[in-house]
Amino acid sequence: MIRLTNVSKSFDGGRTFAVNNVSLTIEKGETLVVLGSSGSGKSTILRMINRLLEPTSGCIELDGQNVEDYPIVQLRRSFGYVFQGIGLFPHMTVSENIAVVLRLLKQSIDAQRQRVNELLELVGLDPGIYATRYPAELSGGQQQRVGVARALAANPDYLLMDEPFGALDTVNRDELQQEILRLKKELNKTILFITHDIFEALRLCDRLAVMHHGELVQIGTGDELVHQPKNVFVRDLFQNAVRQVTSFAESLG
Amino acid sequence: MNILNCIWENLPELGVKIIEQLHIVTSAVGIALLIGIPFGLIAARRPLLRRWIIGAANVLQTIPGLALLVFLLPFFGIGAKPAIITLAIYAILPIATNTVLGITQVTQANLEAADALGLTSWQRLWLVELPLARPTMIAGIRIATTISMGMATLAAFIGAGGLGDFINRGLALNDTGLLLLGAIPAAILALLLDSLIHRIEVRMQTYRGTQKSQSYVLVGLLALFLVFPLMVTSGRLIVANHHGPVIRIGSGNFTEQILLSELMAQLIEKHTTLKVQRKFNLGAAAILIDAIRHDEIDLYAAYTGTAYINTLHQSYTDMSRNKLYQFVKNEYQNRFHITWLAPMGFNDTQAVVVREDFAKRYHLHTMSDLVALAPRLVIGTHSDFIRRYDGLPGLEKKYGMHFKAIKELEPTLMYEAIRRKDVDVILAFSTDGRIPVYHLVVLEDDKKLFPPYDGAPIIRSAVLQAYPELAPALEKLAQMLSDQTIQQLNYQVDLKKRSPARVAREFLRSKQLV
Repeated sequence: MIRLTNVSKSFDGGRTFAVNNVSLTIEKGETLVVLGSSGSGKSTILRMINRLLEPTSGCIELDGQNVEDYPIVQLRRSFGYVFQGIGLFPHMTVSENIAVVLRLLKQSIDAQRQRVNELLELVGLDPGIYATRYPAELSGGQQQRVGVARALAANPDYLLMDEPFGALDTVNRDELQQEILRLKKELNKTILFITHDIFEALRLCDRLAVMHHGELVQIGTGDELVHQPKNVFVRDLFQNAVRQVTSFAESLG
Repeated sequence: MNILNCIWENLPELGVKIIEQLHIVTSAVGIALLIGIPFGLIAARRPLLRRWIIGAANVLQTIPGLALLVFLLPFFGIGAKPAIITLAIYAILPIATNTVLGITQVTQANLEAADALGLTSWQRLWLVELPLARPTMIAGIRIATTISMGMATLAAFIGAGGLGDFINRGLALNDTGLLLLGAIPAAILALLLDSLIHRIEVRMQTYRGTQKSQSYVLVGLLALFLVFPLMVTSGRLIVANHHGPVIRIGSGNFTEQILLSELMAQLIEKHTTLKVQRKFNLGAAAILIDAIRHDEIDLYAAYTGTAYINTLHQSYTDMSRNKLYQFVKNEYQNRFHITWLAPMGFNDTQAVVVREDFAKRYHLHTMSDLVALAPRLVIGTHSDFIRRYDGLPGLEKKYGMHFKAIKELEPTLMYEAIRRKDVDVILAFSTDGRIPVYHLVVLEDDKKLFPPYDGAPIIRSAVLQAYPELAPALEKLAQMLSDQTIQQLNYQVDLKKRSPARVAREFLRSKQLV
């Protein structure tokens, strides 16, 4: 369980807040999607959880203990982190990329190889073909799959996903969303998923949090937000989406 | 034919010079690696420090290499040490800047991924940043090596050895063969080293081959720059221990100096059991006196007048040769613990020299005759005389002689310049073999500006006490070299293009001194 209590973050010494007094809880095993436009502070929240950023005020707990009390390496390895930039190391093969942490954990070569193959199959890549390739030899979608596999390597309980599919084309994105749904079922991870795509949010979420200008506007199930919007902003958000889909359906005849 | 002959004669020395050259270059780049990479790594993380480090390195880079070499002389003396330090200073910049560049080029996404995977900052550096920066860093090492190779030939000016020795000697003796023998292997060596590192660079850029084989390549590179210098240095120590005492003989950068040092070297080799190390071509008189006082050399041939005016800072008024010699001998003994041995017999004085036909046309016999004409004339001389009191400043002060223009020339080139009428007057050495051959005349120093310049061996007194057999060996030359004799020997080298060693040997044989 991850709990944020009155968390704020300012990058300019308190004049403006990227995240303003946010409290929320991510329950064990659930997928919480944070939805918001760019600049809404949604990524900042995620990056404070694995301490890539430090909050200005407030408290973040992991399994009942303040994140600041964990050794940073142990804390970060509790999370699988997947982000839009992917950040595969260009000088390492796919299998070396995935095995980086396993190597640091001093696992045997055999155990590493076995785990890499397992993970590649899990994300739908044939180890025989892809294990020895370099990132530059993969498509964007394949790279992101490797990114997911690398995040899962040390078998973390939590997945932090920061707009992981933002740069992918629609077909790849759709495929990967399906993979995430499948992984969720197979692995029972707790997932915090950041996106600005309302359809992706609704598709993946157990619960949904809407952020605007650094503030948490509403949190609840998809159903609750669609049918009982707390304010005009949330209502317009979903109504706009409905209008888009309707006009698209109409244009198809 | 002449060139081939010269190359053939000096070929045995070539191997030694190549090793010396590689030793200087690899030591310098090795030191630069040890300093430049850590500095680059620190600077990459601290933008403020980066500006300072890169700024400082840039400023150093703008100092001309030769100037820095000479600037370091008082601190490190002559020889390989100051040369290596100078080259290292130049090599640090490309290595440090390319390290900074390589590290800062690593994308934010890669750094974030590394952090999020829970890599410690050392692990991140070792597994992610360094491997990604490596190709850029190797490119920097390559630039550093090329610069060092080029500059290493300059280092011969301060007695560092290496292929520059041939070039220097070639310049001093105006000998194309020697020039080529230095320049061509230096160029080939630079190209070979450059292509070797280039191949490593290419290998690393493609990220091909396993991490392991890349590491081997890196280890090989480190071995080249760190282990090779160590091997040469320890090899030298072993050799030095086996060979017993060595007398280090220095010389200035003109023919007569090289000849005299060669004469002294051969006498020591013949009449004592001591070994001789030739540190020739060290440059101006000021460098030689510095070198012997800093225990960089033991022995060289000095001139009384130069010592009197330039080292002891005395102002000269008419004084006999012997009186001057005794004065200088006492002062050197008391102040520097350097002993003057018996003079060799000639007086190589500074001389105002014009062409014979020119002297006839204007009825020139003495230097005073030249004063009225001087404002219309161009004088050529070497850098030493431009500043020394017994050079141009003295001409101006004592004679009121002001020339239209001054051309700074290598000692060996000024005779050629006046023969070709590029200059009208030269301030030269009276014992040069080219004066009679080129139909030049020496004007009489009627106001006694120039003191006598008796040539004599000077030696560190401590060395002389330890090896008293040196004095009789060297004093076999006492009064053996008249003005005409030394002029004739100079002529053999400068105009007949014969090697100083051979000319010296023939002379000693003809006088039955060996």
